[in-house]
Amino acid sequence: MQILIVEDDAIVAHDVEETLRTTGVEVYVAANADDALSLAERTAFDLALLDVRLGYGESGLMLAEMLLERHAIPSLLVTGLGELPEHVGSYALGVLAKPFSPGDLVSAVQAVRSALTGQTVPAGPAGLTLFSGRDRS
Amino acid sequence: MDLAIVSAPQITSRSFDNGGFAAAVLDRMAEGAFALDGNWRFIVFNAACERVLGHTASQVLGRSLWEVYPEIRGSDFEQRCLAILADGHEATFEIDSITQPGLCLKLRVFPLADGLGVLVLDVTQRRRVEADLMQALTQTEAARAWMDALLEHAPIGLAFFDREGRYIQVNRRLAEINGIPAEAHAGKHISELPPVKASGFEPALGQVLQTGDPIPTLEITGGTPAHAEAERHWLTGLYPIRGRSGIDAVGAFVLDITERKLGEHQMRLLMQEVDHRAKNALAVALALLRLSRAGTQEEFAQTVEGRIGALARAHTLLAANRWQGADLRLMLEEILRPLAQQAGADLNLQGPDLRIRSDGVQPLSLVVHELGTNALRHGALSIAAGTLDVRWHRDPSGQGLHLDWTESHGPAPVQPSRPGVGLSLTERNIRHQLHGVLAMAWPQEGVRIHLDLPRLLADPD
Repeated sequence: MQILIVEDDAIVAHDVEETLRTTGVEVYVAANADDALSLAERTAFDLALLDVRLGYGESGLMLAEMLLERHAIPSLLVTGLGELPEHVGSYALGVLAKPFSPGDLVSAVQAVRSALTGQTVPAGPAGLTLFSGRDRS
Repeated sequence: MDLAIVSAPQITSRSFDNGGFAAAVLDRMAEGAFALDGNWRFIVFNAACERVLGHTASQVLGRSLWEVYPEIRGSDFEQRCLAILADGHEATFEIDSITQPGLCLKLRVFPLADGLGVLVLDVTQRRRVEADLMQALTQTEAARAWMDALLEHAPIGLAFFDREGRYIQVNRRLAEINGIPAEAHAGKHISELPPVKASGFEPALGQVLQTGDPIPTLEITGGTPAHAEAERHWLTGLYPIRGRSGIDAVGAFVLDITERKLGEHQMRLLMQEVDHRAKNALAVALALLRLSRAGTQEEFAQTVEGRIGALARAHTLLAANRWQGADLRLMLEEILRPLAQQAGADLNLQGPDLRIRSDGVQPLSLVVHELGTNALRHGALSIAAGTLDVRWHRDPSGQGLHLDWTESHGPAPVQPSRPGVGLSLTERNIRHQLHGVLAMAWPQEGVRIHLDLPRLLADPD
């Protein structure tokens, strides 16, 4: 599985990268939308893990839409924001609330992977919200 | 009672009025009537006079006015009588009774061939009613003045509508809201000139007129006749004004709550922002905790504490500047000065006053903390003889910063065979978060670092 991490905080990105690498996932890191789109041109990612609020005013929500439309890459949003726009389910698989533990992250990725492959979705961590297929249609 | 006639001229009642008619009329009059001869003696004193003036006819007839009522000597009444006798013109005036305190009398005094005639009317009751009316009028006028002042100066729009929904009166604030003079409202129908151009107000007025129930508060959104395009928020309320025959009118108030609404919205955003930043800070702290490595538990605690402390200082600097960035020199002082003081090393900071963008404060704080900690452990800040020079300048392009870090007179540095967590974090922070470039060298004189951070600075003021 290839996952694109888009996180402007280098420390959090480093932490997420190390956590996912231990599970055998191939991980790429981008700190901004430009780098993320550039990486997406070259790699067929299975999933993008996107921080909702990126640095310098960039929006992870917009990036999720672009990754889906241009490269058919589904996104799991990561955020400390309590509220997100209602239509977020139309272009994102779900949301994982910050802060999260390495175990939460691994469980969330497993749940998303099951959802993407049509398998029974295991119970994810408390901070994970997965949107239904109808939300994304 | 027969017409009373003084005895002195020996005039009988019959001889006086030839048949008693005049005497009968006099005694049936509601008005008192008496007459005085040329010597001020009573020659007529009817029954009504007995009630009003406190004496009977038999007590006064034939006696002098001054003898019966000595207290009126020198009074206004005497002066007026003398004037009437002198000029021959009758006069009507009101006086407070001297003989019967509390009574008010209306007197009509007219000259006779030889003496004076006086008609007396007790106007005490009428004067009381007049006084009461005057007091009520004064109170009404005062209440009206208070109401007018309240209407005029109230910071909320106030309007009164008749049963057909036409304006009766509006205050100054409502006139301002509607953009036309207050007096131009009278008679205009609510549909022609709604105080707020929004659905809701006119139906509410109809509802109050129909049901008689007030609508205490109603929030509506819309422009005004004066500013139709500007969407504003209003708090309004309507209440019936009842008269004897039911609802006479409807009163309404209109309060612009746009600023309050905006404030509430901003407060909500602020709370979301605080929540978001707190969670982000926790996420970063947890990540730092997980990424940090050390040989001993004590070293681990020290390392984590130092890194989280750097984050905390970054937040403090940002908060002090209302999240509008931070002063570069201040940040360097706060992070590096305590490290330099530990061994007594020299620290020289040299460069212009520059402000770091808000989103660059935290990553740069961590970078400076990691470099400083490294200098404290292995470099120029580890001994008193050591010196750390930090110099910087703004890139001519505007937002970029060039920073040179030069360590000297410390232990000879050793280039690490592979980057530790601290250096790794530093490189990531510079590359990913600060979009910059880090160049490091380890000559014998001391570590040399050059930071090229093209998007770090806020625009010059």
